[in-house]
Amino acid sequence: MDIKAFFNKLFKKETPATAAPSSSDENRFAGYSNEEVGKIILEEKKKKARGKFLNNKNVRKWAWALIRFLLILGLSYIILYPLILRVSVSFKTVNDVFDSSVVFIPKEGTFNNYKNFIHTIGYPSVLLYSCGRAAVAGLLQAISTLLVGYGFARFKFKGRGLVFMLVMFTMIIPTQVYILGMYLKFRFYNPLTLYNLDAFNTSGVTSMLFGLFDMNYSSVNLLGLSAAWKSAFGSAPGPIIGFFLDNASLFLLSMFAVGFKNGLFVYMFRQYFRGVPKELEEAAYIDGAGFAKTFFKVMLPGAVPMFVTVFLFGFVWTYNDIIFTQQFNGSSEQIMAIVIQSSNIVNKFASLAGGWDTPEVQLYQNVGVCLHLLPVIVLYIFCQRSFVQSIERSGLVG
Amino acid sequence: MDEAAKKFSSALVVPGEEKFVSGLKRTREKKPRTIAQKRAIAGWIFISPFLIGFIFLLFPPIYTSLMFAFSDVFTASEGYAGFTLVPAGFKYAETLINDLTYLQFAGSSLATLGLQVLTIIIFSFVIANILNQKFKGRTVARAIFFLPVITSSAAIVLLNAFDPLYSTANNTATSSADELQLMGQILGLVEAFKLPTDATKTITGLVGNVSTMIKNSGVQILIFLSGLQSISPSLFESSKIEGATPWENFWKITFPMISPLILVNTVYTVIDSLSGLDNQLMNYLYTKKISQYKYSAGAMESWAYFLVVFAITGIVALIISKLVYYENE
Repeated sequence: MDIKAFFNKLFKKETPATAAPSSSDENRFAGYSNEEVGKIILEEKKKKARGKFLNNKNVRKWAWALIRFLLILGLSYIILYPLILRVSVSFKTVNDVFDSSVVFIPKEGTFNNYKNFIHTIGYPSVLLYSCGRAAVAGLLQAISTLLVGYGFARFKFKGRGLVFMLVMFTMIIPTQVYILGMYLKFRFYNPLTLYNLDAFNTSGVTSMLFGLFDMNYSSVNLLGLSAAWKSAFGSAPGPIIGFFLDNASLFLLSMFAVGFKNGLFVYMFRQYFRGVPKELEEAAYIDGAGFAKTFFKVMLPGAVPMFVTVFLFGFVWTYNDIIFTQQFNGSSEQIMAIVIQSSNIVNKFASLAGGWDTPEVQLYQNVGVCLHLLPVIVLYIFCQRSFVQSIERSGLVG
Repeated sequence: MDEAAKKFSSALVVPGEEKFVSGLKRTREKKPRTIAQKRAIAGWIFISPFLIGFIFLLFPPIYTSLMFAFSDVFTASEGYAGFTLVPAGFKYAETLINDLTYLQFAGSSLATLGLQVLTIIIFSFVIANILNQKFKGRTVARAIFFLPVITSSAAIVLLNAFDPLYSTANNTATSSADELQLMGQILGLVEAFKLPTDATKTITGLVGNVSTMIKNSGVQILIFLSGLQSISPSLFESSKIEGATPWENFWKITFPMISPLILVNTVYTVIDSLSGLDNQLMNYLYTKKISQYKYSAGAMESWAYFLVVFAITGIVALIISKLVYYENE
C-alpha cells in the first residue's frame, strides 16, 4: 500500500501554504517505517495543541461524555415520559387527578382502577387470547420469512430478481389500499375464481366452471369458519379449535409470508444470510449434507438472534394492529387492542362509574392502555439481549 | 482422469463458484445442469411459501381493489352479503380533482415530506453514532431508544386524541407557562440579533416535535446502528496509525461506508411518512371506503396517491443511489 501518497492526500488541506513543498515532506520520512511515521505525526499534532485548554485530550473526553450523558438522559426522558405519566395516572384517584400539587406520585393512591378494569373485561382471558394469537402469528411469520429469506439469499435461479421485486412491492403498498378487497375475497374465498370479479357476487348471474358446478355458491367463508363448523357438526368448536378457526385469515397470511410488514422481515433475513460466509455451507455440502440438512444444522443455529428479533416484531405488530383486526375479527372482545377502544366496554365502564362524563371512565381506559402495553414490554425485556445481539451481527446491511 | 476423481469434482461444482474446483479439471460441460438445477429447485422450494401466499392470498385482493376504482359498486340486495361490480371506466377519476379534503391532505403530506425525511435521517444518524460509542449504561440506553418501535400502537394514538384526563395530567407535568416564557425569550433573542424569523420558527417547531421525531425514527436508528457495527475496526486502526483525527475518520470512513444504508433509510422514511398508520390522508381514505361506503371513489383516490408515493420513492432512490459508495464495486 502506498501509504505516503495516502497520507499526503489526507492532509493536503492542512499543509500551510508557506510550508515546504511536499517533496521535502516525503524525504523527511524516508528512513522510517509506516508506524513510526504515524507516531511522529501524532507527536507533532500534540505539540501544536499543547497549551490550549480545549485541546487537552482529557478535557475533551470528559466534556463530550457530559454532553452525551445529558443528551441521552433528555431523550430517554422524552421517550419514557408518556409511559411514566400513564402508569402514575393509573394509580390516582379522582381527587389526585384534579389536585394540581400532584405531579407523578399520587397523594391518596388506589388499586381500584386496576381492580375494576380487570373485573369488567375479564383481563386474564383477554390477555391469554390476544397474546396467544399474536404469538402464533409472530411464530408463523418468523418461520415462513426465514425460509423465504434464505431462499433469496443463497440460491440462484431464473426469475429470482422478479420475485424479489414482488416482495418489495408488498412492503411498499399500504394495507389500507387493499383491505376491503381482502375482506371480500376472504368472505367468499374460492381458489379457482380468485381473479374473477363476479366471484363475490352472490346475487348476480351464475358463472359455471366446466359446466360442472356452480362456482358462486361453492366459496368458503374464511371469516366464519366457527359458524360453518357449528352447522356441520351440530355443536360449537372447542376453545382451541375455535381459536384457530376464528383467526384463520390472520394465520393463513402469516403462514405464507404475506402478513403485515412481512416484506421487511424477508428483507432482514435475506441480508442476514448474505452476510454469512459461504465456506460454512460448502463444507456441509462436501460432507454430503443435503439442502435441508445444511439449512437446519448449519445455517439455522446462527440465525437465532435474528429469528427472535423478527418474532418480536411480528408479535408486536400483530398485537398492536387495529385496522386488520377490526376488519377480520371486528366483534371480538377477546382482543386487547380492540377492547381498549370498544364502545361496548366504555358503556360498561360508564354504568360502573355511574355516568358517561365521569372521570372514572377515563381512568379505567388509561388502565387499559397500561395493561395493553404490559405484555409487550415484558416480552421486550426478555428478548432484549438477542435483539441487540442480532443488530450487532448486522442483518440489515445494504 | 479416473472415475473417482470425476465423481468427486462433479460433486464439488457449485454454480458461480467455478474457481472452487479450478485445481481439478472442470466437468461442468459434461454434467453441467444437475447441481445447478437442484439448487434452482431448492431455491424455488424455499421461496414457495411467499409465492403461494402472493398468488392465492395477497394479489387477488390488490387486484380487486384496483378494479373497484374503475367500476360502479352496488351492494347486493338484502339477504346477500355481496357486491356487484359494473365497469365504469374513468368515471371516478374526477373525484381526484373534486375532493378538496383529499387534495388538502395529500398536498400537506407531500409539502412536509422533504423537511421530515431530512430531519429524521440526520437525527437517527447522530443518535446511532452516539449509541455506537462505548460508555457505561449503553445497553440500557439502546433498550430505551428502541422502545418506541415496540410501544407505538394505533389504538393508543386514537385514545390519546380523545383523552381529556391524559392531557390534563400532561399539562400539569409540563407547565405550559414555562414553555411560553421560553419561546418569548427565544423570539426576543431572534429580534435582538436580527435573525430570520421564519427559519427560527421552523427550528423551534422541530424542537417542539422532538418526541414525534423520536417515535418515527426508531427503525432508522436500528438500521444505522447495524451498519455502524459492521464497519471493520481495522479501517479505523490503520487510519489512526496514519495520524487521522476522529473528524477525518468520520468523513472519510464512517460516512462512505454507511451511505448504502442512507439510501435504505431514506426510502423507508419516505414510505413510512407518506403511507404510515398515522398519516392523516390514509386514515381519511380508510374511513371514506369503509365507513362512508364510497368504495370506488376511495379506491381511485388511494391508488392515485399510492402511484404518487411509488413515483416519489423511485425518484428519491434514483437520486441517492448515484451518491452511494459501494465498497465492492
